[in-house]
Amino acid sequence: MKLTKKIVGALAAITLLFAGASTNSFAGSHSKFPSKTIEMTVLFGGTAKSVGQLVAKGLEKNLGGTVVPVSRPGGGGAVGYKYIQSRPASGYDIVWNSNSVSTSHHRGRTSFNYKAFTPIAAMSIEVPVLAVKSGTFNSVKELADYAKKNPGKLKVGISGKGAFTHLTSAIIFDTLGAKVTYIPYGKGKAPAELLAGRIDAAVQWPGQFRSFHKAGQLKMLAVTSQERIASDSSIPTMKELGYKKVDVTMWRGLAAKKGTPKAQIKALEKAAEAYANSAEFKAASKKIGFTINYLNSKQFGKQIAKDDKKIKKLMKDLGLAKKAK
Amino acid sequence: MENLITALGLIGTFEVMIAISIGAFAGIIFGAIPGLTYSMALALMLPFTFTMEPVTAISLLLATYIGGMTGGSISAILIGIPGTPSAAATVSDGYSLTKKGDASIALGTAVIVSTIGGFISLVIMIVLVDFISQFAIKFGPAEIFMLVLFGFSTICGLSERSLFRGLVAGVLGLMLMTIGTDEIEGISRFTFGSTQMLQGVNLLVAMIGLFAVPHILEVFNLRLNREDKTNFEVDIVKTKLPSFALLKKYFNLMLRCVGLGTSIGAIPGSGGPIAAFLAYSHAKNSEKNPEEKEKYGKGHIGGVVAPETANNAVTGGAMVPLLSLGIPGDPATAIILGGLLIHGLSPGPMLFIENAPQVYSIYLAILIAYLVVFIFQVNFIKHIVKILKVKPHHLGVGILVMVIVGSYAIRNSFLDVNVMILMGLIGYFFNRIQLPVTPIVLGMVLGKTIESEYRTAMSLSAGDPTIFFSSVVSLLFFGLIILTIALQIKKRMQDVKKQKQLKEQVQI
Amino acid sequence: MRESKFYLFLGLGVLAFSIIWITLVFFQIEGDLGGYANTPRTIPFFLGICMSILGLVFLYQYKVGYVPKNKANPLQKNEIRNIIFCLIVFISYSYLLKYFGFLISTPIVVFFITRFLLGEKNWKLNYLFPIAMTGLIYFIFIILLKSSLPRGEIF
Repeated sequence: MKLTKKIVGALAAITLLFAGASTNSFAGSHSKFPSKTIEMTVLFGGTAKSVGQLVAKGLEKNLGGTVVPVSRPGGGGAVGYKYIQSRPASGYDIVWNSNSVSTSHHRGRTSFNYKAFTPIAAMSIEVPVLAVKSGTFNSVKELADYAKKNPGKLKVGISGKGAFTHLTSAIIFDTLGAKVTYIPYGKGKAPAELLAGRIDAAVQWPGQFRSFHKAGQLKMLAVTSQERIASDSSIPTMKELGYKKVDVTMWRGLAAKKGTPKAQIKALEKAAEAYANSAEFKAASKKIGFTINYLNSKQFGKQIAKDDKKIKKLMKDLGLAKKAK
Repeated sequence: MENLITALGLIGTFEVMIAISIGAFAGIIFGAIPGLTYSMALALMLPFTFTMEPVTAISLLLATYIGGMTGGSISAILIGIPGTPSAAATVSDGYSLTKKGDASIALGTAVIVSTIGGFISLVIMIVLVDFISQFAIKFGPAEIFMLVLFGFSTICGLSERSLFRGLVAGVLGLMLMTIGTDEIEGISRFTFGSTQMLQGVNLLVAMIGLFAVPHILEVFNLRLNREDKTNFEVDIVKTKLPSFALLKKYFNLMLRCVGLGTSIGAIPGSGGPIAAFLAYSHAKNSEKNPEEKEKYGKGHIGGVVAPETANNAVTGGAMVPLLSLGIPGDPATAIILGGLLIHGLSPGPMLFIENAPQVYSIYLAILIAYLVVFIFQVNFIKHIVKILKVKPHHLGVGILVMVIVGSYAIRNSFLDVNVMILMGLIGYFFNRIQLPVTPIVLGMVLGKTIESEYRTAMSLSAGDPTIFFSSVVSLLFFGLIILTIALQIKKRMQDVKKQKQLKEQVQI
Repeated sequence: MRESKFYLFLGLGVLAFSIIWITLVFFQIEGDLGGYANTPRTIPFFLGICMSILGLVFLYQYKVGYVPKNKANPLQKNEIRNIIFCLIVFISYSYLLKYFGFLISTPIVVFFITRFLLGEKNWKLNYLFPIAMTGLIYFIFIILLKSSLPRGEIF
């Protein structure tokens, strides 16, 4: 009985403490932005996270406040997007956005689509690359010929069904007019699996293959963007090789919840632009292997909308599309 | 040779030494405090390394990794809560030794064998890096699946009370890992329509819950009943370090565990916990003296030596797939990989040619980090064992706050806090009905790998299960699995016979 | 009368769990079963079967008359009540964190536990410990490592 009495007393004490605490914390004003820490939600690990952390640092420098990258992984980005939607649209919660805003919606993981976010600025694009083991296929044409002659025999490594590398592979091999088998495997194993000959081709990010390509163990056949990428300028594009339909890139940029005040978006946009043009970001792009592609809020919005259409159709064709409950 | 000298120049700077010291210290602290893990320390530190020189940055990260790997054993031994999954195998014997009053000996042994294990595996790695990476490539999905299945079959050896009780816990662990997004098909499983649940159950969060919450509940329960005492008689808390003779006795075992740890570390997708569990069961099974064997699980120093040697030997082995193939073995090495990439050191064969001095300085950094960790820890032990003099319920409050904040901080998710509490309840319930908890952790460690490798292998063979028996390596592991199970059954039969005889005697 | 019904209860519990699990496999995982054993359902289904076999094994052991080697500890005085109290503390702390953030809820919860739940009489511990604990964690996470701690939804 004694214990119960004590607990009641404690509850009373808590109520008093709250009364004291709450009067204090309403005192802050919102005239200057940022007046407190900005949380930047990062949705994935790997390169996405590394670049996100860099951008957070860059924003911090150009914005004059604290920007903390916080990872909220899971569900192909859905967990992080949902978190942003649960927060007030104050500009203090931003997200390191990517194509996953479209893929997670069309896979039925989020009930809202890209329109629920206000674009701030696009920062970079990453371009997938098609690679094979050296000595197996020398060009995309050889690969296409083989795949057409042996439908379903060519094993193409992807990161997982519905992953961006899967969508890219689907576009590539559709354009080539070949039927292939997709092998989903865990993170980052593409080079090893290719070297061992367990898969015949793989679509991944160039950073994973570069060292092997230079050593002559693997061969990067083509990149999927419209223009060659700066970090691996010797690799032709699919467009150059005559497959004009192939144009896939993964964009990354900043976004906030819809309804965030214009002034906040402007401030963030300005800081992002300054960082995108800095020497530091350029150096990082070379080392990590992404392409800087700054777009302002308006242009970025257009790009997202255009991409969303493409992804929607693609996912429908692949039978991956689903409606959110 | 030239490279080595350049590397010495790179690493021999004041900043690098400071970075290694800070890293080692932070790693030990994060590894040792229940609720905080060294993966978290690495993730939090990574942004700070962006502006550093490459070698300084990598040294900081590596030192944190190594500090954490050894630091995890501190809380495992002192309060029975493993600081890292790799230390989960150390708990049963390490904590039992503490209860006997031999905390400092267990800790000292752990530190020394960790350092030896790390050193030898590093040397093996430097000498054999090409050979090992060739060997690692041989491990395809089918082979890794067989290896992991072999790891799982040792569960039986780990659970003391009964084979089947251990299996229940192990299967539960495997089940937990299937919750959330399925990585292969991207389909949600057991999420009940919730977006948060797509995250699935995090291994670290579950482990924190399984070990720390029951501890807190027990301590608080005693305190609420006013039955609590000080943790142990204060005078029992000795600060003696293990003798040389003791270490010499286990030197052979250590060497075998180093071999085991290095090779497990080199295989992409496995890692510290598997090596530690395998080493533990190896130590137990290779003990010939039945009296000594009985003591395993009840405070045998061999049960500390084996897993601690093996999980640190993993650090050397894990560098092989990391540097030569770019495949991280666990979350911690994945963060180190991020650090390497940001500083323009992309893994692969060219790394060893273009960036040879940096590679050598990585080796040297590991070497120095082990030395620094060793010095820190040996001096630490005297002070840290005093934590046993703190009243258990005070410690309990601290642990409570740490585990809640820690499980939130891993993925910044409140789901994880709730999962942690739920896992704690399961852990407590399992303790009450005497089901072992450790196999749950083992099941969770292996779960993701087992499933993804199985499914990849089946995709590769288009649904033909003979892929699992198509190479020498997988056949070898299959043989080992059969052998392990056969030995278990034989042992059980003998036990049953003995019991029957005893019963008959009683009846007569 | 058997000495112990331990295996009976364990077997039934495990069996019931496995049945629930297998039902969930069919209701909570979308997609078809596929032509061969390689779908998202395969492994969970297989695990469910394993679990149910284990349940049957325990029931068999009960039938044969197995008795657990070590006796389970009897429930201690007030154990269930105490555990429930602790759980309430855990859960309310996690909710406080969610709505009020780290800086407000931690000192309150720590104070509550040490003073009222654990009945600590030493005032220094009662007041300094919560503040020190909060300050230390805040220092490490926010000031030293510049990361984030739970932010409240209300404050």
